[in-house]
Amino acid sequence: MIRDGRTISPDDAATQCDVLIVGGGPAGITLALELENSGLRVVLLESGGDEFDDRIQQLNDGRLTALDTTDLSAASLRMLGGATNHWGGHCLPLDRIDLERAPLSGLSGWPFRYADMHDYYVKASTYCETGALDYDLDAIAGLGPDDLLLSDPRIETRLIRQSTPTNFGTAYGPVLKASETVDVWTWTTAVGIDIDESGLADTVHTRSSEGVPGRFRAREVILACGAVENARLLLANNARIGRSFGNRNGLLGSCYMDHPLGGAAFLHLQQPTRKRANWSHGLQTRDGVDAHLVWRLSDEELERERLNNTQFFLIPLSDDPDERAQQRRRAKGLEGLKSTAKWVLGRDQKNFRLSASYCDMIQNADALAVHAYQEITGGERVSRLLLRYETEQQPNRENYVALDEGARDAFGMPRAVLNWSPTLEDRDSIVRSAIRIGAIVGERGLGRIELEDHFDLRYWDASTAWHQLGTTRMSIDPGQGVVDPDSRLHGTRNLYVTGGSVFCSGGRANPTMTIVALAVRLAEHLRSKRGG
Amino acid sequence: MGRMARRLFIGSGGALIALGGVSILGCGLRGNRQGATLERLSVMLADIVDPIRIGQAACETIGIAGLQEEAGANVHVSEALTIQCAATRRARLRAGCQADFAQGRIVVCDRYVLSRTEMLVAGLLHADALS
Repeated sequence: MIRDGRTISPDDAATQCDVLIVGGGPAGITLALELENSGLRVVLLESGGDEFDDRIQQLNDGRLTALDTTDLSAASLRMLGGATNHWGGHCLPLDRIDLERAPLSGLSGWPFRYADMHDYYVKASTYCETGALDYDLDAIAGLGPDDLLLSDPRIETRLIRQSTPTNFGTAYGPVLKASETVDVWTWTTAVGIDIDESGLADTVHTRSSEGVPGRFRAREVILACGAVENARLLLANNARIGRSFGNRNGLLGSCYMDHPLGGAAFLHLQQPTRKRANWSHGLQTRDGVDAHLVWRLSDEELERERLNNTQFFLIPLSDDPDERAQQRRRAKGLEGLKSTAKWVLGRDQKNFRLSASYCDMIQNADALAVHAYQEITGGERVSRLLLRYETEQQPNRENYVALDEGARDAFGMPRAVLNWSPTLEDRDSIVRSAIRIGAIVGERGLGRIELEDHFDLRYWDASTAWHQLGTTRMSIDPGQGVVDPDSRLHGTRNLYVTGGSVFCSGGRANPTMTIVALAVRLAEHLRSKRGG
Repeated sequence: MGRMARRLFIGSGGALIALGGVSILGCGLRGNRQGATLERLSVMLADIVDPIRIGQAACETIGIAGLQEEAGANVHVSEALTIQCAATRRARLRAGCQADFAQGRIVVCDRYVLSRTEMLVAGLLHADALS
């Protein structure tokens, strides 16, 4: 059932539950769905509603004190479905090495292995609508070695499955609405949690979007609000009650990670080559899911060279200035087409201007048509490729979320301040990876690598994938983490945290699939704990 | 008729083999007679991504004397200079570069990831062009 927090005041009967989930993003919704038939009474609190609301969204706003290419007011969304309202849809599990190797920065790693996550990833694939948990190249029908630019075990060509992208709010909202055991309270924001001396959390304090206070009582409380908001709520709550739950070693809010991305290098091919699957659009898996291919160095290479896990998208470029201008026009036209399509579908309306998008589309229609023709005929030959990286970032204490005591949100909570930037170690890892790729493609006679020219700049022109990870990292050791392997906040008996914030390391993968898998895993734990 | 054709075929095949052998021998003898010249390395120019930029960077970072010294010790360059046949020489240098990459003899020269051999060749040719 959906309850509108703007018009209904919480009463005692409605607010008592077995499991209270704070946050209606992919983690919270998955958790609620996984518990739906468990016999447990579940309440899910969502700060926003079905649609974007600027006033509620501004609760997320906060200050940036280092790299400013992210935006706290926009990266995660306060509406049903959370960040899946604007995600790109790339899906893949963490690599084995991500789960089995401790971070290079010296902190503890994940407390379980890939095999332990396998079944949860299978379920996550269903939620993300990405077909089978099959990431071998064989999953693409008819793909042979000749379709690839390089076949070498040291540089792996890996598969990314493309979710539609599934919007968890629209896809699963109707199920929640029809549920008799899950109550979704929209327009209801958690502002505090009462935790007693023994670590028992029993009451969550809320405000409706109109500022009306409410209280929810639960036997288990789960925070699933994203890495910034999970940390902000816990830090503010510890300050309010004068305790330091989950923060024995000052790690609460720290070790924030993202996936820095940008250009790493150019690959100049020895011989111009026809179109390969590495940069083809329209690849599909045997079970009908769109797919992309990326390069990554093998686990053995990463281990030997002590490198971050990085994936490289291969993007064909032209040396001809006219062709480059044509590519720019094509990109602009495509952007216009995409924006208009999103607008038609009711998405991404925040900064949309129909007139601008329409003009982009029409003025560049010829470039789009030529590109479409080349896509169909495969006639374009390529001699230069951009290797665009998306990389793991090592967790470290210098990247953190803290409370900005000088700034309060509409409900009086301190706003977040994010101090985040990619580090020099992260940069060096990308450069060393590109050099290693250069050595391998040179040895194989494929071509030569030219490194990008921005690595001496401050923050080396890195952008961000807007993946918020790692502020309540998971560790068996309370001195190395904030939550335990069951995702329970250290020092508490029944307060759990889930989502990107519990990541010990981020790998190269878009985190949504792992976030969903972790929620499935937590649901299993809660069912087992409560005998559901 | 059939016997004549077979003899012609065998005869022409033998002639071709003999001609090839004489050519190879001739190439080698001529190569030795003419001696190694730096220009012979220019067959590799087509394989170097940006020979002017790389050559200039190599000269600036290592210096002409350094390049010459390293070239003298570089087995791929030394051997290539003794090969008369341009195609064979180019193939020898290419193989040398690939061996460099395989054995970790790589260098980052003005942002290019190169084998030491191709950097040397680009540098030597650039220095030669300037002189």
